[in-house]
Amino acid sequence: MSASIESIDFLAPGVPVDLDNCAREPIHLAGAIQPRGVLLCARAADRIVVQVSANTELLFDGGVADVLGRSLDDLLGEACVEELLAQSRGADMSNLRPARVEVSRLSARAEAGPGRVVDAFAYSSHEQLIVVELELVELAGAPRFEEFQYHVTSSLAALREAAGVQDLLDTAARVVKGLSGFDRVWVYRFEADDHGVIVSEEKEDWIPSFLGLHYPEGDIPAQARALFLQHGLRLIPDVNYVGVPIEPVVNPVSGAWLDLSGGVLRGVSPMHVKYLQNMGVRASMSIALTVDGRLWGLVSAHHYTGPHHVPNSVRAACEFVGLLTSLLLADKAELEIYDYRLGLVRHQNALLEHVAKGDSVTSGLAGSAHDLLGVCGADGAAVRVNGELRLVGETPPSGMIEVLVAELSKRSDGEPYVSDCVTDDFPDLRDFEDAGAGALAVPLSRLNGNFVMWFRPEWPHTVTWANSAAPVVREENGQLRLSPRESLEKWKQEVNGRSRPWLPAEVDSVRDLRSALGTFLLSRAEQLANANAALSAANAELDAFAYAAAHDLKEPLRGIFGHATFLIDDYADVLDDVGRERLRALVRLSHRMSGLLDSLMEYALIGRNDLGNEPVALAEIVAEAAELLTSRLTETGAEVIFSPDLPIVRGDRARLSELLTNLISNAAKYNQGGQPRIEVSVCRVDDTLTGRRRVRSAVNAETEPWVVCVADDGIGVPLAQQEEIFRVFRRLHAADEYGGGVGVGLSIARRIVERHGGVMWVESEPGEGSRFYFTLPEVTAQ
Amino acid sequence: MSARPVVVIEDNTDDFAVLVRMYRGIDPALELIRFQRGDEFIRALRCGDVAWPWYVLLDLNLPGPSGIDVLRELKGDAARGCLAVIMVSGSARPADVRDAYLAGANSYVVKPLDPHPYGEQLSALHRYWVGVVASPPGPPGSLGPPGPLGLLAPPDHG
Repeated sequence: MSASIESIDFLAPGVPVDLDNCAREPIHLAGAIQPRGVLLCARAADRIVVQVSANTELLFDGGVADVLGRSLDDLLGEACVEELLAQSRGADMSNLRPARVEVSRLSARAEAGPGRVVDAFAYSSHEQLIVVELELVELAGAPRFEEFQYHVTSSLAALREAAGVQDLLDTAARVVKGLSGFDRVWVYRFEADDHGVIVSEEKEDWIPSFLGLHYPEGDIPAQARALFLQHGLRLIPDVNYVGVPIEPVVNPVSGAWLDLSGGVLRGVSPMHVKYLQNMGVRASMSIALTVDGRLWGLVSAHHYTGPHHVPNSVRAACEFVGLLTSLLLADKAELEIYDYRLGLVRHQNALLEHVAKGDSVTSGLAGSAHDLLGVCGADGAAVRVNGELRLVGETPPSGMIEVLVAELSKRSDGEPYVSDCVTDDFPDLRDFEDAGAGALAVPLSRLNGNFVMWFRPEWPHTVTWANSAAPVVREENGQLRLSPRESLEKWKQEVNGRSRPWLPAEVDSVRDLRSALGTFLLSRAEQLANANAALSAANAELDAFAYAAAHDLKEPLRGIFGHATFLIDDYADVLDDVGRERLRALVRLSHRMSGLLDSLMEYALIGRNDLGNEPVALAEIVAEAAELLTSRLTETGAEVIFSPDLPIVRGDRARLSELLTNLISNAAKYNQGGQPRIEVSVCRVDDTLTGRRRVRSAVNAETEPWVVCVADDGIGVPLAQQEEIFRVFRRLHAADEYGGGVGVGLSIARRIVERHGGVMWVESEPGEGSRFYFTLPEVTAQ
Repeated sequence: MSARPVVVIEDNTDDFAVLVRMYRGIDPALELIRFQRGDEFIRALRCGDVAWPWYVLLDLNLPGPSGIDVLRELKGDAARGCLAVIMVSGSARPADVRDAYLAGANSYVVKPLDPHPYGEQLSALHRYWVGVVASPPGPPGSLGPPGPLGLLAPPDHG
């Protein structure tokens, strides 16, 4: 529809036209006119006629030779020529206004007699030329002015009040039929591929309907569509006319065939005439409908019962109807789309509200199926966020959706994927043919393959073409020749494997949803970050509180301890055994409470203090810890074994030292007699029983393949207690068993590991010893 | 034994009672002067209301200006900055210890739970400052003859 005349590789004028080359026929250079008037072409400079149609006798006294070389002033009168020139200068191609001329002024002959008039049109298709067309007016058939005015005003009101696009087109067809008196008037809409569909029709009862028929693109080829866009109306009062050649056919000034596209008398392409004749049409008229500068469609008229003359005044009115319809069309189409969009936006809003309330974008979207589908009028949808795929309604199988996601993730434009036939783009996705014939997909973030997709099932339907697309070979005068289609025999085309197409409003709707979700996802990420920050702050505050509370509790405790001690010091000899024992218990309990408070303070400090981040050789740390624990280790005869090529880790040296000290002392402590054997080693995550599960749940197993293991041959920990032992102040044994302790060593150890971004766990069986595992950043095996 | 006092800046009466008992064992003749607030001590020192002590035991946790604040103020005083200040605290936090030394503390004693080792710590400390090292001298005029015992009794603790 956007084809312009300039872009067409025209045939040379006069080259015989057939079905193969008719798309290149230079129809604006017809070389002939219709016989209902006379054409004069004069030099602009001196107004001397240089070309004339061969039918000069229709209006003038004399043949071609008599008219050629005379001036327009001489032929039409100077005043008339001045008026015409003024008109042609002010006019653009689509609103030529004629000057009415009495034929008696052109000819002295009797048949030119009183009452006969012509409408004279002037235009310039070449700067040195002026063309004047003189069209005979059939006054008898023309409507009276009052009648005409009534017709036009009531038509305008009807058009303006049309309820929607369809009503508008129906009204336009009815109005044009009423004005022009054609047997059939219909509205033709050009589709995206330039083929036409008849969307409205107003006709006499006795002719069969064309409504709903599709016409191939070639029926109104690009150059014809371009001419329609330039000139709003085109009339052929009698297709059986005999064309009147222009003499000479090559203009002596321009050296070319005359461009007749600006006029009203232009001869019609022989192919088009044939086409009309084959359809039994005697007269035809077409009016352009344009929206936003493109040819939206045509109001076309056919007459079957004979030639049909339409005077310029009626043509002008029809053209005006076309213009008004075009204007209203844009409005009403927009209004219809607006209403539709409004419906989509309602779904969008409801959906976003749902997402805002939901735990996650995925569940928010998938949990609101009605609105998710309503956002673009789909039958099924899939939400895929961070590897989680949720299906709603009728969808292709999830495996196929994953394949599509993978394919779409390769595209880099970030634009919605829109298709009414997925298998056209991805022939392997055969399972899309049913539920997912059409798909609309928007990436939420392409890197993660996060998509929201909508599906429409196959929409099998039949397109009825006006006639077979194949040209007809016909015998004429003993010769085979190509001919335009002979009849209007309908030809049905089954359309399969496609969904109903996605409308621009629907694509826009999902695009809008995507950006809303984008900001939403972002704000959720921010929410999460804020929540994390708040949690960290709360944790820090809790640590600070625990520390301060423990610290402050120690002060009175020191007093209690002190007084109890002094009581023993000063009054031991005046107390009996029970009294002394009670005082000693008081001292002992104060001591224990002090230990608890110290541990609490220590535990709280791990969370509060910033960690160092330096390379720490684990072997050194283990050696240090063993040295620090010498007295306790010697006491039990414990042996600490470690390979000197333990890895280098990154972290806080003092804390890591504390970690190993805690673990080794713990290992030494929980042993049933014998000489504890404690081994510090490094192994792969996969070498542990539960490491892969634990490590993967906390950190990326790919980057943390190494774990440190502190193994002992002690009493072990029953499975049920393997998490318990890491809880603060949680002891599995009586306070005086296994050397006592406040039950915070392992809690501190785990907290140190977690503060370093690692995980810690134990694998053990009662009587079989325990293996304490932990990961640390950048554990690199040497 | 000289008549110079030891100043204790400690708001907790029980803790002070423990100190009094400990010092009785160290030097029964020693005068302990107690201040409950650090700023009161600084004012008294600057006005010459208190004799130049052997050293000051300064609690880290104090009402009003904290122990560290008082320490900084003392150490920033050109004339009196050489006064030996011993920080005393229940906190063994490395950060607290470091801060105290960076602010100029001469020693840092962690109060243990058990008064017996505490007594031993204080005894060693006292012997060090009184008998081992040359004690920091006070500003001119502050080392006048000590007043009679009892004249410089603590302002609020008899």
